[in-house]
Amino acid sequence: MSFVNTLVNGHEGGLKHSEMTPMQKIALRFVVLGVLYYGLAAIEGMMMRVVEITPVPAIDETHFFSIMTVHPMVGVFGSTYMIVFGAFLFLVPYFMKKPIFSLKLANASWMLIGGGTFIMWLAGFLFSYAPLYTLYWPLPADFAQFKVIGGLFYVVGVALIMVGTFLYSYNVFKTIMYTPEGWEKQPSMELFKDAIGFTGLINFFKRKKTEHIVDLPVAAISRGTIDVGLNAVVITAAGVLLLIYMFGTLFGVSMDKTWVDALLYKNIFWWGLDLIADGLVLIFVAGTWYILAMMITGKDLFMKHIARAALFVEMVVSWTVWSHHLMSDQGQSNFLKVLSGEMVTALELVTQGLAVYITLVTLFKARPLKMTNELKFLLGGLLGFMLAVPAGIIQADLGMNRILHNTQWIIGSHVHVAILVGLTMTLYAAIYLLLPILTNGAKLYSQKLATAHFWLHLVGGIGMGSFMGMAGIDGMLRRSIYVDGEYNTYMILAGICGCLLLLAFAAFLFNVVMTFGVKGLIGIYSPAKSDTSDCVPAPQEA
Amino acid sequence: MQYFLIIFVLVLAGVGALFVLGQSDLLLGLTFAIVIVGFIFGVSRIAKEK
Repeated sequence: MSFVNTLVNGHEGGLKHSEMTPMQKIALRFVVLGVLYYGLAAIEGMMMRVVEITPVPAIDETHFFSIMTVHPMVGVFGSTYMIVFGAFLFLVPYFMKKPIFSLKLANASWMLIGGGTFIMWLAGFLFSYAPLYTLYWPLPADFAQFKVIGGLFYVVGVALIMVGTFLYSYNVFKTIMYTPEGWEKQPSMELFKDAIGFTGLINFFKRKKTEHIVDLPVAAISRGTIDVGLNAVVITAAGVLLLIYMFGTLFGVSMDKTWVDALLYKNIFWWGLDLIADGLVLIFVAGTWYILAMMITGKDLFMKHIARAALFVEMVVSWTVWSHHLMSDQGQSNFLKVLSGEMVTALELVTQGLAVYITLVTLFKARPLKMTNELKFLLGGLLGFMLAVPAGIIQADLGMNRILHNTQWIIGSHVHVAILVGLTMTLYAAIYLLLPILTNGAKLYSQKLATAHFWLHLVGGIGMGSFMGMAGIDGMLRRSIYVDGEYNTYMILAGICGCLLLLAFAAFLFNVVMTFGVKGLIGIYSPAKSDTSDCVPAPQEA
Repeated sequence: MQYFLIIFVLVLAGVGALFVLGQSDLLLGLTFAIVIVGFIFGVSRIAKEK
């Protein structure tokens, strides 16, 4: 088959989109858009890597900081949220063996999050809106330096993302709790209590235990979705606050920035943001590891009751952990710095350590296993968090924080290793695993490209994070441009590793396009011909 | 729809809190508790909807 033919029609017949169920199409719509936004975030990241090596005329300071403002938002909302939501909107009905509550709401979610990310990105691209690169009050409301129109684009984009997020959380919980037409009445409140962990909590104090009626993977998705919703409440509130100041500026009303206490804003903002970083990421990731381990091995999870309890503890921990972001703030109470910042944060080593242990033992007990793409990427994801979580615990120490706060260590050794290696490799594992289920058995175009994707991403991710971290230990600040090449050795090495990441993505994207074919990819976004509410097509009778 | 209404109230309450809490750790803690309990209550109302 010629190259052009495969490119257009896909490998071995490509993606037969006309045979796909509406649910399969929706999940793939989320995932494909999420993968494309990952590519955008990767290109943005490389642009910043270049400037950190040497100033280039095409990317001036204004451009650099506007990229820095939108880069994490494109990565988190445009890419991670999209891929995770797509997978979970498919997996909740798949595991519950009941139809999703609303296909329309699911479609609205990817459109709102995808469209909102684009509008938010335009705020940086068109208007160089950049105050959010530091997040701290009153900079986001400083309209002397930044145009109100840029802020409006930004807030509207984020608002659409949040509406899509609320619709996703509504759809997930409604799917768990509702009674489909013609079904026996479902115990809605019992399902809700078990999904978020109340049943398990009450069981802890009871002699006669209530049996769980929600599977562990769905329980994990529910607990992470609680944090998703809480985070959306905080981000929406921050957006409304910025809107108040923007309209004040537009109508010439002088609004004093001191009306809002800067430290209070920082506390609330980080509480909300940490619901993503320390809440839903760790809960969703642990839940995804469990799903992957069970689906790869075909066996039950090792220590599944402990795993369920740990997911509940992780959710509570995520509500009380934010103060590690305020360890260098003079005004922050020492009580909060030690209790929330150090002690509760250290608990994450226990909860995440348990998740790593449970997943590894489940895999170990199922030997011999074939080293498939999903298994390789799952092991890569585990390694990522085994590196990034201890890095986070190290910086969440009052002494070490004096040295590491606001340096490249934070964003390199901790954040980028956690996101690029831990989270993204886990998501890639889920994508490789779900690919045949979502596509009714489409065959991967090239295993060699998938192997290259794995090694380039693993080495690039760990390498880039490590070299950024080394620069951080030597004193290189984050959110800063160094024009005299002070940290060039590390930055060149980090740049080379960034190139490996970009190559890894190119290999993956090319492999996906050749597997599906351009026609197949476009077909994902056309209306489904089947009107079944099942997740996958019913098996054909012989 | 109660879920979305409760979220709306929580968002407004959150914005209002930013203007009135000042430096009170107690009020700050209470705000976090109200948001968490309020949101979980909002999710629980989804079960009641027809």
